[in-house]
Parts: sequence; structure tokens; C-alpha cells
Amino acid sequence: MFIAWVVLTGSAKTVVGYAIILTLVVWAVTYPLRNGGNE
Amino acid sequence: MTRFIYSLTIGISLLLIPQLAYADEILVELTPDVAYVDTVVDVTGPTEYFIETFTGPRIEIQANGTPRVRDGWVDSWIELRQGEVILRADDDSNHVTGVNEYASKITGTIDTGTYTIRATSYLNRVGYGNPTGVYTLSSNLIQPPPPPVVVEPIPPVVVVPVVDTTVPTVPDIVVIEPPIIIPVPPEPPLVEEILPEPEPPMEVAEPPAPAEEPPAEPEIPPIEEELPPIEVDTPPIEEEAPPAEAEEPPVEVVQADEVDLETLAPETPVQLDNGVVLEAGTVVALQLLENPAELLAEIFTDPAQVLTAISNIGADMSDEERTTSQNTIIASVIAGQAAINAVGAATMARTPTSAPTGGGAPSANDNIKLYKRRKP
Repeated sequence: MFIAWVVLTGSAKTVVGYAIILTLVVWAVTYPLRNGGNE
Repeated sequence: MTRFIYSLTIGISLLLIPQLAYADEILVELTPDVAYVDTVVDVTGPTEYFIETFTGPRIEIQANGTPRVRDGWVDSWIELRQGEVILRADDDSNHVTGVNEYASKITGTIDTGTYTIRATSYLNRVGYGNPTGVYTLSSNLIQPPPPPVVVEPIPPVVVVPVVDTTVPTVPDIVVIEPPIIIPVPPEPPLVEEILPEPEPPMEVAEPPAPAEEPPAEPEIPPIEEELPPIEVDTPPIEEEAPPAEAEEPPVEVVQADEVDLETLAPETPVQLDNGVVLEAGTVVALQLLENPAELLAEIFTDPAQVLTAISNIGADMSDEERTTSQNTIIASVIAGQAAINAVGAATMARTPTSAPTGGGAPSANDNIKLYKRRKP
């Protein structure tokens, strides 16, 4: 997605940027849930 | 004292009014064959301008009391262009109900340059044909035509080369005449024949001259008669210009950064910085994506606008940009998947296995080991 964000322009770049941020936030928030089961 | 102040105020106002209201008008006559009328103006220095149209009332009442659209009425559309770039465009900013309906107006400031004012109709602009109608275009950028000034300089310019050829013959004749006149008076026979006239030498001298002058004098009128054709040739050239322009493609675009897009009709083509041409409504919708809060708020107020924005994501990319991005993203996805598969394969290869490598059927103990190994 980062590569896509680099090569895209205009509204597509904006949308992909927001998607990256949203994905990172979701990944960070759910990290304890995913790793908590192994402990 | 009060009267003096009033008189002074009125006098100053009268002096200013003609300057502020100075403008020239053009009657725009649109027909199916004349889709628009272009007026080229030259601007020297920063100039505040206005361009407006007068269309008149749209509805008229017939004799039987039935209202109908007035004959010759047309919804005007004006554009200020520089070359093929549309700097400003307007449809109905000068609208006054019942007086000047759906009339157009553009105001602003422009710098030095050559501009074109295009007057057409809204129907033509949105691609619904070329209606027939008449309205008046007025602007302070349009200078009144100076016909007397243009006509006067032409004769000297044309005459100069012509005179160069004729003058040498005329002076020769004139120079020859005096020597002829001088010797003629002494001749008695000639003097007796022209006694009734007061100037015999002059008339005596002319007989030989007419023999030479007839070719010279007739040459002058033709030369003067050649001037009108030269002047007449100019207007046809100017008249031929509109048909040539009429053949231009009707689709014109507006620069997105120089026009308030929300004031344009949604169907108006707009050219972005990268050369992509989109409709004004699409560009306005795409601008919602730049502000997530505004996008969320618009979901409840105008969901169609949000759908338009989402469905047109990436429409503002040029074909070249889209192709490059597509190739890069596809290559990166394939490379990424290949790398993941390679890592997975390497991981599996490093994992120790006790599966039998030799031939023969596996024993019962081997099956048990495999079963146990699969169990997490």
C-alpha cells in the first residue's frame, strides 16, 4: 500500500494514504488481542 | 455655497460617468450555423473589466393571452479566453427576472495580453445544439472600431508605390512642356490659330502633350480605382475568420485553478493541472475526499455527492500516471507474493521431518509419528 501511495496521485493517493493510516491504527489496536492468545 | 458644492459634485459625477460606463456593444446573432461569436481584445496593463449580456425578458404574452418564449430569445453564455484556455465563464450571473433573464456577467482584473470574448448560448455550451437567438454583448474591453482612422492611412501606403511608377512619367511631361512652350510663341502660324484664347502658348504646348498624356492620364484613374478593391478585400478576410473558427471542436475546458468550480454547471468540462478533463461536478465531489470530516458530514447531507466522489476515485489521474502506477503496483504485488512464498518455502525446508525417504510402505510407528507431529 505504501508503494501504491508513492506512485499514485490526486484523489487516489489521498484515499490510499487514509487507508494506510486506518490500517495501521486497526493493526495497532488489535495487536494485544492477536498476541494475547499465545502467552 | 451649498449650490456650488452641489454643482461641483454633479459636474465631477458627469465627468466620471462616461469613463466608468465606457463600453462598446456587440449584437450577437446565433443561428444553427453560427454557434458563437468571438471578439478579440488587446489589454495593455492590469485592467478591471466587465463582460455582460442583455437578453431581455424570456416570456412574452401572445395575442390570445398565452405565454410563450419570446422569439429570438436565447440563454446566453460568455467566456473570457486566452488562446484555447478559458479563464472565466458564466451563464446566468446577470439574470434579472422579467427584465434580463438568464443573462451572463463576468468581472475581474486581467493583465496585459490578447484575450478573446466568446459569446454563445447555454444550450450550445452543454451540447444541446445551436439555438437561434439574439442578445447584446457589452464590455469595457471592447474598443469601438476606428473606421476613419483605418481608411486614411491606407491610401498613402498604397499610393506610394504606384506614384513611384507614374511620377517619373509626369515630371518628364511637365519638364518637356516648358521647353516646348518657349519656342512655340515665336512661331507665327500657331499663334494665329489660337488667337481667341488668352493663353496661346499653353494651348499650343498642350497639343503635343495630349498625344503623350492620354496614356499617362488614364493610368492615374485606374490606379486610384485599384484602391477600393484593396480596401474591399480586407473585410472578406475578416468575414472568413468566423467560419474557420466555427470548425473548431466545440468541447472547451475551463482551468480548474482559475475558476470557482461550484459556480459552473456540473456538466462543464474542467481541465486540471495535469491536463485531465473532468466535469465540474466530479471535481467538486473529489475535493470532498481531501477532508474526511467534510466527507463524513456530507454522507448525511448529500450522499449522492459522496457516492460520486467514491465512484470517481482516481479519475483525476492522467492515463500516463494511471498506467505507470498500475504497472508499479502490479509488479510490487507479484514481487511481494513471491517473496512471501519464498520465505514460507524456506521455513518449511528448515523444519526437520522424519518422513520416510526410502521406498516401501510406512510402518505403523511412522504413521503414529506423523499423526503426532501434525498435532499442535
